[in-house]
Amino acid sequence: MRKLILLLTFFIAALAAAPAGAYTYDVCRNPIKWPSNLVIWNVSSTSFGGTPWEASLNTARNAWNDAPGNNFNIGYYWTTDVSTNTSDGKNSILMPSNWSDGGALAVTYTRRPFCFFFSTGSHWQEADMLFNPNKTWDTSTNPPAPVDAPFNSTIVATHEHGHGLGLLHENDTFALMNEYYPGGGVVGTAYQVQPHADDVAGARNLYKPSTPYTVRDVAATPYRHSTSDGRASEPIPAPSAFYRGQTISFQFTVENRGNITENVPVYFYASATRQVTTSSRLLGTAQLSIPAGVSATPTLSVPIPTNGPWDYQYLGWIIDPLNSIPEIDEGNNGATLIRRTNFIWNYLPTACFTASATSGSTPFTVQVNASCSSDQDGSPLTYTWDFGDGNIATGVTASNTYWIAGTYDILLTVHDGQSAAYEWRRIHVSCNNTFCPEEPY
Amino acid sequence: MSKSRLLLCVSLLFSALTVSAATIKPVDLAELVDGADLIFVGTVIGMESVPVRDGSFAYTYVTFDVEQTLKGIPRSGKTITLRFAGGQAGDSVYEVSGTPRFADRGRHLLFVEGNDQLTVPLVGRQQGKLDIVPHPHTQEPIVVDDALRAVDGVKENGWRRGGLRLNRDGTLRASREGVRVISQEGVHIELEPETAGDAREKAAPLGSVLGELRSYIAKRKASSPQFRGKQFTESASKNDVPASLRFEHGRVK
Repeated sequence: MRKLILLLTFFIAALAAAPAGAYTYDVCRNPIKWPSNLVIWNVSSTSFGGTPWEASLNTARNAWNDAPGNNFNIGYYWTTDVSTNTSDGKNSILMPSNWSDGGALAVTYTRRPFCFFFSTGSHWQEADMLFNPNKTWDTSTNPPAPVDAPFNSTIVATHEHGHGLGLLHENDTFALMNEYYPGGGVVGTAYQVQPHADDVAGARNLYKPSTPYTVRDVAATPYRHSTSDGRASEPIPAPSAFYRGQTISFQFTVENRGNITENVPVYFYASATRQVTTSSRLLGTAQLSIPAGVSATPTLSVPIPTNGPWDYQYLGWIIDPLNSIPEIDEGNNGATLIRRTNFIWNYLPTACFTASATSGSTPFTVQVNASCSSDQDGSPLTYTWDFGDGNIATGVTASNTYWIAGTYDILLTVHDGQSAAYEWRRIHVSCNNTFCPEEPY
Repeated sequence: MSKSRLLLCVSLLFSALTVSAATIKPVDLAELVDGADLIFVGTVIGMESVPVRDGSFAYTYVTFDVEQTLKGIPRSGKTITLRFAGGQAGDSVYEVSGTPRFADRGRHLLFVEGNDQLTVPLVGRQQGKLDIVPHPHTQEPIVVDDALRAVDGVKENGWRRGGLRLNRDGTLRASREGVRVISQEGVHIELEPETAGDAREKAAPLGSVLGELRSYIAKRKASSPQFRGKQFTESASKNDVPASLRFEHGRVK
């Protein structure tokens, strides 16, 4: 009987734990949260005090405190009075000397009361946030592109504080609460660590002000969903090089962190520095409609404008560049890709050649002619022929004799002094019964 | 049954087991397979919450009826008990981040490591647990990950994921309203492609996913120096769980 009650207990317990929404989970039929809108954490001055961790943790805390429309405040009390004991009445943040949470970067332990059948809600009583002492940490507050060790403490602490508010993991959208490091990545030109659109929507959902309100904030970020498995985010890769006359193609992420749909312009730029501004070189413009709490990573294609030369540039974009939307945070509207793109101010030459024949029997001689190759810059071209049988030739025309039957690729390389173009043709050489040597002469 | 005991039982009915909340590094399938002491398909047949000796924390012992073992000691037809941090102790519920959820009769594919040592004895925490659930339309068993996205098989060193996604209540997830391009000048913007309606409903059958996983495990065994053949550790006695199991459990010096 006891066993039956226990089984039934956990069966229903698991059902009761199932979240009703995307952001939070219900206990006693209501989202669990702190009883007040201010929670104080005891932060270990032994683990973090006087080190770069201090600024990192403060940045993480403020990221939530300053999130648009968030009605919740996280307070810090720096002290040696911290503990991993989740029953001592203190919310502790520390780096314990021992770690039994495997490969997790950080873990939050929480305590709450039992949910009695007549309860209509539950609340956190205590939480402890622990950072893994076995990992290498980067404590910078504006990390450009953290993807692996050293792990950025500001991003991880902001994520854990999201749990401290009562938020669950969010795998479906571009979010800092994505369980896989680095979550939604960083935001804006200054590479701020901020909760993303979905995250702040969750926080507002939990700790909503008593009166209706409108929050407006659009943002740009150089992160995208991981294309490998669709779960975690990763920095958007920058194209390595473009030649004059080509079309640039890159992805960009924009999000609406507010609670109303925004019809907003996005301007695209090339910038010599990581700080994209409206004075940077304008590539093109678009007007997008972004629903509240939504992030997206479209792909942009734009021909390189003719006002070169350009050299190495950051590709960037600014959402709401003319400040037409009164935003809670105006500092997160611009982003650039993490790495620079080389704009080579030279047209690629065009490689082209004709062959006198593409099949024959041994000994098979082929004449090639590359006079149809060209270069838009008018630079003198050099020609290199690789006949695939070990023979190399130069010049606009050449010829080669194949003595052994087989299939060969003729590769032409045309060089204009700065860059090269390639063209190839396949040659089939069959065996002539009267003349078919096993080895070349 | 005493009044207080009855009250405790009733109160348990409305309590939660665990919730996830850790930040973790994604692990690929090679790490899942190589790092696991045991990989098995099983069904939850029991869960028991056990407080530590001083009552300041609790562990939950989840017992599985093992259907098939893909790596580790073959224990087909037997039961395995795993220990997860978190549970009820006294009048408190302790929850630990990154701990996956289990429900009675839940069917799972599990990649086990460090049972009785780690707070979550799964490779990559919740990444080491996949759920086997009925397809909402066909009722055929399918495999979904912790994001409730269908796993269709193995691709290189990762899962091959399909377009099917579920809501937490097991129904098909509808696509969300997205960004629209109103106008553009000098640029061409291509929005992320939506998964087609029929792809959103398709998922590979369980047998095919397990078949591909078996082949992958065999390949890793033959080729990977990291492939661990470590012995699976059964959970120790639940009767006397020391407080020291979790960290030093006390003040940090």
